[in-house]
Amino acid sequence: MSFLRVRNLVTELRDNGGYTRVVRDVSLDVERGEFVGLVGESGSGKSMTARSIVRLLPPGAKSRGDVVLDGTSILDLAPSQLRDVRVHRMSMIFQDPRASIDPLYRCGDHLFDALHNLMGMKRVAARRRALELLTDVGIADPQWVYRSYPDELSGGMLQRVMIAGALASEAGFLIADEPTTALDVTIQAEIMAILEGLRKEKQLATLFITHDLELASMICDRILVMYAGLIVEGQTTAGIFTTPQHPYTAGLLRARPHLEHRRDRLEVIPGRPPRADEVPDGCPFSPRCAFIKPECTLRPPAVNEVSPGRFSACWRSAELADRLTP
Amino acid sequence: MATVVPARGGVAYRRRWISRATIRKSGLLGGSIILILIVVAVLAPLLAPYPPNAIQFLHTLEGPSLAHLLGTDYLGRDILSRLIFGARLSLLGPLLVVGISTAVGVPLGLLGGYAGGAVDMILGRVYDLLLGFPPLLLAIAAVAAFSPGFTTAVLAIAIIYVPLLARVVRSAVIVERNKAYVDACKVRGFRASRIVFGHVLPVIVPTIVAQATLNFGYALLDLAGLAFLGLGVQPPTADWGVMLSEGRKFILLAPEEVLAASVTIAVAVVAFNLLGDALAQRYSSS
Repeated sequence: MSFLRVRNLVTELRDNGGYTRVVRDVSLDVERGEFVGLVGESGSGKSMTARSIVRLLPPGAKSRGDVVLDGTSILDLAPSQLRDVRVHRMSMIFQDPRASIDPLYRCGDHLFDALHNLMGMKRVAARRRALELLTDVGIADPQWVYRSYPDELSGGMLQRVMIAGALASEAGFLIADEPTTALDVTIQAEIMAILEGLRKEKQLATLFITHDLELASMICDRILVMYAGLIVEGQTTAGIFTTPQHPYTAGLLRARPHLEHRRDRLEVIPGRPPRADEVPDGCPFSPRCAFIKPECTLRPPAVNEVSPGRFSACWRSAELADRLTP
Repeated sequence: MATVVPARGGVAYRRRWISRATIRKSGLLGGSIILILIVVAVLAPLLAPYPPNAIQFLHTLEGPSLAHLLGTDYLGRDILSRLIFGARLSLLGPLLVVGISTAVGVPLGLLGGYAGGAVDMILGRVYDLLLGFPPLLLAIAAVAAFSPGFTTAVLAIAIIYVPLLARVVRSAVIVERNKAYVDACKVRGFRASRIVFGHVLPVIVPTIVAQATLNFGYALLDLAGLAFLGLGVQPPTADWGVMLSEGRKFILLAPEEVLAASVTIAVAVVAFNLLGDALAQRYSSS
């Protein structure tokens, strides 16, 4: 069984008396040492999937299904057990490091607090370990960063501090929720290099969330494409780019700008992604799909294994295979 | 990306009815008055020309003179001296009210705001119930049920002031609760109590201080009102509310005592309002 195993995860958020389904039956696996990319547009449910896995949902939200991390069923944990799992076995880094670190404390306190108060390390040892962690994430002057307040550091530096904080727990599972979206491109490359290094060194199972297919392709072993709260396609990174199985993925690939053959206009997928409350019956992508057939609007397609390790939620995957290749 | 420079006179420089600078200056003024009042209260025995309860039957209800700058009351006591000594209880009362209502209201506000759900709803309805009554009426009922006096009056007003503070704290907590750093703390496995006291509370302390300062002024007024009605501080103790009550009987003959006490109360309340408003504006998140 895989290290992280998610089966039939459904998450609903409460709004004005009703519930909105933002994650609609998601299943995924992440192995030790594996980097899995979860890619989708804003509102596709990728962040909510991640937050459901760590149970970090807004008040009133409900999740059901199976989330099993190394033998522990996360959704069934009592609050104190959940806290324990969060301390030792999972960590998460967020989109905007500046908003995710309490500005009232020094960056060192951010790490020290976790090591001393959560992990139970002695003061001296915790301080030494914090400095080691800062060195591990490529900070040249850890003493100075340890003493600094968040507003004295750049966004890239803060994201390193966040990553160091995530590593403090020695957890085997990391969720990176758009960790470079708030940073500029050069810093993005540095952060990605750090994550890549850690993957090799620590055998971390990582779920990497992004809206940037190219970025995901730099680091991920496998990529899962989300649309309207569903995973519509999943396969190896190379496979996604060479032989997409789902018309949505194919559309995304065609919509990328190319340096070689430049055109005046980029190709687009017509329409826009549905809001969580307006997902159509049948295949959620059907209203925008170029290959729609009558059966597409009747029943939602099941996720089927096209060939070993390649999954697609499309009625016509098999017959469309050639026409989807970019 | 193009750099955007806010134009002068644009949205960024929207006119206000009172400019920020004015509010800052008036806060300074309020603060200075409060400081003077506190010094007077502390140094009362040194500053007051007479003991507050020194009766002189030969000099009752006299107007201002060199011997008695603000005149004397119906027992010949020096009004200025009573005013100076009165500052002690008149300021101690609101201080206790603010202290008690903060000690109770802040934890309740933190609890309601952070826990949300049923806890928050029940607390909210209890506040509504308390705020539904005119505060002085509730205080009168409380004082009537127990014995009139300084302690009862302070406790009664303190209880009424709890919801005022708890509500402000609650809404500040709700804003903080949804911030990313709170999520980050949660996912790292910190207990709710640690997140609330270690991360949320420090951020909202300025809001609490501003609201407590405003409440101080209102409490001063309410306690003076209770004393005036004979339900708070009891005569012959020197207190601004008591002076108002005693002077009222001779208001046509000698208005000095009522005038002195009411002007003092008004100045003190306004001073606390000015400071409270300035603090609230200084630390508002806009």
